[in-house]
Amino acid sequence: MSKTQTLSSHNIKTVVYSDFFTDFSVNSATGRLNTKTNEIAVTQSVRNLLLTDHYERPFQPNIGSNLRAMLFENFTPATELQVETYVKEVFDNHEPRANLIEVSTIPNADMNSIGVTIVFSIINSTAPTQMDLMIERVR
Amino acid sequence: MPTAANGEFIVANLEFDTIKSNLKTYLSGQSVFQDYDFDGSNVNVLLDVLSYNTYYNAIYLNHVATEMFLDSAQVRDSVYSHAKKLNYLPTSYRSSVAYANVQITPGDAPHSIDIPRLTKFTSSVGDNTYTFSTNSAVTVYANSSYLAANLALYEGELVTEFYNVNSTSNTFYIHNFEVDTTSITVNIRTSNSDNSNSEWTRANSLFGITSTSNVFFIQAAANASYEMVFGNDSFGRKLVDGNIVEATYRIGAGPNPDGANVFTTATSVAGYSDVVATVVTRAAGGQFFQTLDDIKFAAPRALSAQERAVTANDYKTLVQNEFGDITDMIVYGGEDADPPRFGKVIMSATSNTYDTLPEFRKQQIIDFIKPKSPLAIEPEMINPSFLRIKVDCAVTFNFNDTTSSEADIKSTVESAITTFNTTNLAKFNKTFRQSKLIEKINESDTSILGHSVTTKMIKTISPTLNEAYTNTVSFNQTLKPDNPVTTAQGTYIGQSEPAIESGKFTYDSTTGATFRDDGTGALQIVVANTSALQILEANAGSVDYATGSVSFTNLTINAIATGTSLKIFGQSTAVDIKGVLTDVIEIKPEDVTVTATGVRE
Repeated sequence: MSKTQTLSSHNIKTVVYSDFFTDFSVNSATGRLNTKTNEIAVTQSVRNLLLTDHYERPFQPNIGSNLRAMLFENFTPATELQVETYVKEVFDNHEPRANLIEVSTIPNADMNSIGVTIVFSIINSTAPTQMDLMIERVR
Repeated sequence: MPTAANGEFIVANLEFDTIKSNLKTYLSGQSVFQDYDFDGSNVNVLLDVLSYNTYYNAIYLNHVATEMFLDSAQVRDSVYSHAKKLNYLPTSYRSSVAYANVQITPGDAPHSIDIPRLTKFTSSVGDNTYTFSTNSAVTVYANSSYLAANLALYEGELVTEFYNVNSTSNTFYIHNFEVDTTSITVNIRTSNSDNSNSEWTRANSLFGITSTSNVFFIQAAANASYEMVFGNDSFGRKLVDGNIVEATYRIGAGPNPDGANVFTTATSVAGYSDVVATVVTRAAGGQFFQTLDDIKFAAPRALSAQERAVTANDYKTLVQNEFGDITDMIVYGGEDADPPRFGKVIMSATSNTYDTLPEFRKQQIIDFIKPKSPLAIEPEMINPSFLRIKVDCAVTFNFNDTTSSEADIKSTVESAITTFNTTNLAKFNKTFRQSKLIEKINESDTSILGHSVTTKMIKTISPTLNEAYTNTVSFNQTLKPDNPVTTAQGTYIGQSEPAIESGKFTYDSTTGATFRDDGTGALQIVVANTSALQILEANAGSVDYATGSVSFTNLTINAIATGTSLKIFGQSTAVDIKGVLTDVIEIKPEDVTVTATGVRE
């Protein structure tokens, strides 16, 4: 991993993190790829990681959260704990730019889904970021 | 995009990780997308795709490049294709062949009985039953008691394929990769409504082929099989539209039926059911198709030989390629023989199927090689001359260094000696080096402290009992004569070490007799023990210490103490024994004596 750059008064860089959109959307005026920056880029990265299963990325079996792999597990109280653990591992192992503040789950066994609310902060930024994720079957 | 990083972009790496690392290095020179190094970013996912694609293509190209050369090709079709360019035909499956005397006992008394081609016999090896059949028709007569002697029986099922000829191709694929290409026969009909066949023969080269020759060629094809290629009206007659090609061939089970020696008729023969097949030579010579390593070895050499046997290596390459059971071969001109035999090429071979090649096999080899030999050169097969080494080994080992018993150590050392024989001996032009044997014995167990190894050479003779026997055997090594021995030496006789000794036999009704030389070149028959020497025959032959020749002259041996052949032991001057010409040096387990003594120290 590359080191994240420090935002300080001596070295202020407006754009620290930048990535393109998942749908490869382009700027209609310039024809260039649109970019996501800083907190938005990190949030997108976290979402990507949470929605990626192990063994999904070629030659890198450990990348991802494995949340979707829980689709066929029995819905028990331990399931929620497992989801929280998976989310925590994603932040620990794959996203050094963010600190996890809180993760909470809202189970909905009748709908075969589970809602995940994640609150995290970007390093060197005090404002927390909240992300809601609903894990459910798609068909 | 930046250009600064381009100079560092490395394209030689083939692993996924290094490819991705190179892409990251490349992207480090730009600032538009800075998240390339974070696992969850879209840029990183895109790098995965690019790296995977690059890796995929690299692997693919690597395989393509590998298959482009004979040395590195792994796919059989590729190896066949390369071999084809070298005009080399990989050896196909070969049927096991057995030879049997087939006796028919008819109820009536016909003048003759025809045993048709493809008469079937069955035989079992293990749990499997195999079908054998004759390859040609044979007629037996009343005056030979209806006996077909030494009839060749080939293992395998017969398959017939039919092909319609059209203008698009003169090549026809054989749909069984187990085909024995030596068994292919081809008949051509002019059309589907024509019932008359004309038999076309297989050609191996363009020599003697004209535009009207009814021939076909065999070449390697896809999926380890072969295809038949017909002529073009320049070399070989061209097939015309509407012709029907009927190809009959045998598909065998490789070497699995080897060893079959009990045959029963599958059907009656010419209406007679009392048919008994008595095996003469058990089934042998079955082969799977040639291994890729063999093809890689043989194809370039076959090209250099050009199907002509000129040098010694040509003979060796051609014969070993054709006869898969030949493990080693030596070829030399008759001028090197003793006595010289000018105009001959002398071949000797060892086989993994036969201890000594039977006459029919030797004749097969001669028939195969003779048309490829220069004019006025006559190839000749002789048996290898086996020079055995007797090994007496006494080892001392430390009980404190091992949990093995004396019997275990004995077994370990015997095994080491057997391995030494397999690895270093049992082929032509090999030299027995005692120091290397000792090295292997020492290495066989870490607890071995010391050893004593003595060796002697062994030749065997098989005299007919109670008949005068005259023969000469040669060790082809310088022999080490002891001081002349006389009966006056009394109790010291046991300490003498004659150059020639032998196993025990009965001579002139006296049991326990042995040969030994007298130290001056005379061969004696004696009864010797540790205290006395009784000479039964003072001049039983002669010993040439310089050449290692031992001559037996007009002896009548009554009985041999053990077995049917008599071992003659020779003491060589040198500890290393070099195999010359057709000598194959070997150590047989029966000639090895090991004693193991354990001590504690």
